[in-house]
Amino acid sequence: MPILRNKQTSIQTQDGLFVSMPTISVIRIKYLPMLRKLLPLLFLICWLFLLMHRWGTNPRFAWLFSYTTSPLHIDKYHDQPLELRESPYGAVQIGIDSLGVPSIFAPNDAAAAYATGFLHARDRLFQMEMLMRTVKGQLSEVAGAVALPSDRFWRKFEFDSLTPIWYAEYKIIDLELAERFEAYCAGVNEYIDIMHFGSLPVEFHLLDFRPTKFRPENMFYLIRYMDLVLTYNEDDLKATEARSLLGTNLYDTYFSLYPSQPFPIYPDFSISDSSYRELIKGKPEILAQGPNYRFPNALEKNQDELSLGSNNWVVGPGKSKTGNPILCNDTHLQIALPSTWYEVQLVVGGKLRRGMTIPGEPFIISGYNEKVAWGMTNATWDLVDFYELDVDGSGNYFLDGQWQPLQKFEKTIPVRGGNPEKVTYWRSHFGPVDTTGMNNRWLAVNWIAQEKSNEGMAFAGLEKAENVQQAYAAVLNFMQPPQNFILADNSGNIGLVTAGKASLHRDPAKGIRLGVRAENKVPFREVHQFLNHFNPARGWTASANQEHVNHSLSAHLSTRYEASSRGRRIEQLMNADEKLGVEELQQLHLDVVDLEWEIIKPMLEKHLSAEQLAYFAGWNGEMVIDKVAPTLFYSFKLTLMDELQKAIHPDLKYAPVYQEAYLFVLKKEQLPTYNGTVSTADLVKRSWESSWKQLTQKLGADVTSWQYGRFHQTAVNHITRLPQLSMPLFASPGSNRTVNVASKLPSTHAASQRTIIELTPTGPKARLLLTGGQSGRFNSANYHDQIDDWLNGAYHDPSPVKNFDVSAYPTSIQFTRK
Amino acid sequence: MLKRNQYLYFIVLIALVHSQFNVHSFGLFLLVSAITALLPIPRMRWWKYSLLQLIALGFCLALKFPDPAVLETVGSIVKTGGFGLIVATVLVSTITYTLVAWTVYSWITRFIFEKRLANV
Repeated sequence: MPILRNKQTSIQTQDGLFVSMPTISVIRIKYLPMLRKLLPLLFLICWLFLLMHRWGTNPRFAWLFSYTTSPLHIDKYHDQPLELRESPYGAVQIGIDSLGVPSIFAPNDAAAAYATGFLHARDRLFQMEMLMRTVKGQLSEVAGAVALPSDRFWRKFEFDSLTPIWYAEYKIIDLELAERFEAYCAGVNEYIDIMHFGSLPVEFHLLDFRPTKFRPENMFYLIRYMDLVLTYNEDDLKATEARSLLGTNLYDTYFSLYPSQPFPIYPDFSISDSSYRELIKGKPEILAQGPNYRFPNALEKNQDELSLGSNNWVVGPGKSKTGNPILCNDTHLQIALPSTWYEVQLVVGGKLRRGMTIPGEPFIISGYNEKVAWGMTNATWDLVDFYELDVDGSGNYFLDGQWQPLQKFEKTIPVRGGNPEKVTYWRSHFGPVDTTGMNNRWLAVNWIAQEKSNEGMAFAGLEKAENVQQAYAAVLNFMQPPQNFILADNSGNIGLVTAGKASLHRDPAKGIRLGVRAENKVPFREVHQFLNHFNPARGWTASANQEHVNHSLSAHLSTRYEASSRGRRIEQLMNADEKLGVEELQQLHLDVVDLEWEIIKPMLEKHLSAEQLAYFAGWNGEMVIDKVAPTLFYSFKLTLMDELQKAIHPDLKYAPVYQEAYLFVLKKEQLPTYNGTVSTADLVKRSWESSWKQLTQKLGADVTSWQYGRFHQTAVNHITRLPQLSMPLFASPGSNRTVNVASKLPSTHAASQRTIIELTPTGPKARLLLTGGQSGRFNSANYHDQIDDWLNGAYHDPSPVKNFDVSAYPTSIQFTRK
Repeated sequence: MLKRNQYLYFIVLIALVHSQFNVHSFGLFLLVSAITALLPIPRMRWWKYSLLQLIALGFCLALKFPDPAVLETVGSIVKTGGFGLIVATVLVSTITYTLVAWTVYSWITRFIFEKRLANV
């Protein structure tokens, strides 16, 4: 019998039924016990839905706010001493110093790779996961729709299905190297397996996913990612658009094939005419031309502004104060948290090697062993070709006089917080075609990254080289992205070799080419036999991403090298002293004189008033943080480029090479534009005024407070760009043209590591620095502990200890338990 | 000497602390929550489950208090603040456990008791 709680308001009819409101009350009352039983279940279902559902791209509340899986578990110190079971490749002992740099003592290469993999995972698991996901086109799955353009870009190359095949092929060729790869993977996966939940990096908590097991073919992804950073651009699209906007004559005026003041890496280069002809012997090519070439979505990547390159130099015994060769390297990349590089010392079978690795591979990329040192800079070659296909609208393209089918393939990209995205691509003889954002044009892309290669062979060889000749033989296995390898050995030999494959077109002009004949596709080929020199007469050699040779070949390799300012400054300082020691070379790493001042200065003197020039009185181009002149100079030279670009054509999206443009403006009284000419004096004055206005808006009206440190600051951001995991902006010296480079505003690209290695007869002496820190864990003491050293020009001096002593290290990991 | 009920409460507490420290899977935690609700504790009420979970979480936080750096940074990222992160975690964990345990208890345990009573 139901309990009637609201009797007073109920009305009973003659036939005993309740009506109106009371009727509802009775139903409520009748089913109240069942409702009371159901309510907790209903609440539970709603609650679990609330917790388990992904609301947009936010992590599930169940993952973030349930204590079981909450980030509250993240350990205060993840770097506790560990004693673990012996590796399948033998017992390994690791001592980790106060900077978080491990010294790995292993009986063989495989065991060392196992330990390296374990340490990379321990300190950089999220970074490795992101890199792998980026190249496989799986970033949107964890980052949401914001990563779709990246995934769409990468998926067309099908690396996820190609790399296992490449790996299987290389395994047959070099079993020893394959074992090293597999040992590295085993080390990474061992860490993932034994990792306590409290050691799961915070990024996995915030993005709500768990790390993926590492596979041997992932080794190929790192190189493809570096290809993207160092070689990929869509300049061919922008060049074709610019040519269509400006017409050929005006285009050629501003986009010259050769630097007007060449400063080659190999001043002693020579090549026979027949060899040169053989190198560029392609079939005649046709550049796409017409009024309707517009690519508003072409990749924005202004290499001049980024100054993505590096410096390396080596002084031989005749130029060195101690009589020992000294090799220096600093690689310019985005400085981020965690750092690109990870420093390790390996003692394998009693032999020492040390240097910078990149998480994702077991090799020392820039470093030294007991007898040989090596470093690298980017070759800045043009390694992306776009071919326009003639299509019939029913899935065919015209090739060699007949219609050939395009192979259509689809990829489904899972998107976090959204519906999966289905993308259609086509395979062609010239490469994959993605019509998205191509303005209805069918453009196939041929990029160096699509070439099968195994750079591990080069680094494995370098690690074991005993002299420069063996090191040279090792780097010949290096294919991409092409690099200028600098080498030295403890016998006093030095050398420089540019290794990697180039795309040598018969016509070096940039632009989209017509893909109508199979032979139009230019293969990538090696040119290292022409680009090298050993023990040069001047006693030193250097490279800073400028052109390689003062020869027609230069334009076939690239028409957009880095400005020669850094290279010229290195030469100035090399020649300043008869002999150089480690201290002088360290100062060279930190040099912040911008030689573009030598071009801009006469331009300003010609067009500005004495009052305006007074700001530069006594200044020599040194980009230091406490002066006003560098602010005025840097702001002006960037504004001048913007104004020039606008003057050439308001719709021009493709900037001329900066240094060439400055020289052109300096030399000419009138500058040709799309609708006539513009006076250089007007352009310079307008740029100065515009720059002044921008500075006033940014820094206030008081010019005396426009110190460079207020204008030029460095941003060291976490790879997710989360401000809480990034560093606040700080003042920093340098510019995009100084040896101690600092590109963009705020600066995000700079020396990502610095090495100075002296090879003495008794062993190497090194000074090293990694910009950032060893650990990718934001709450580790080694997260960004080397940033101050980077800013202040400090290094650490590693001691070449060859025997493991647990008491010598603050932390240790031993794979010794049976 | 502890009474029988007190032993059972103690077992629930141990299970909660242990699972929340070591299981690290939300699904498994739900399972553990359901199992603890199967213990035949007479005169159980929903608020007693809440209280048990609050005590268990208190133990967890006392045994391993979160790293202040983690609290500050993660709290800032998820916009709760460090203290807010702890409060949110305690609230969510307590409500989850209470709802699971009380639902299981009221549907299964009570059903078994009713059957037993009916048989008596």
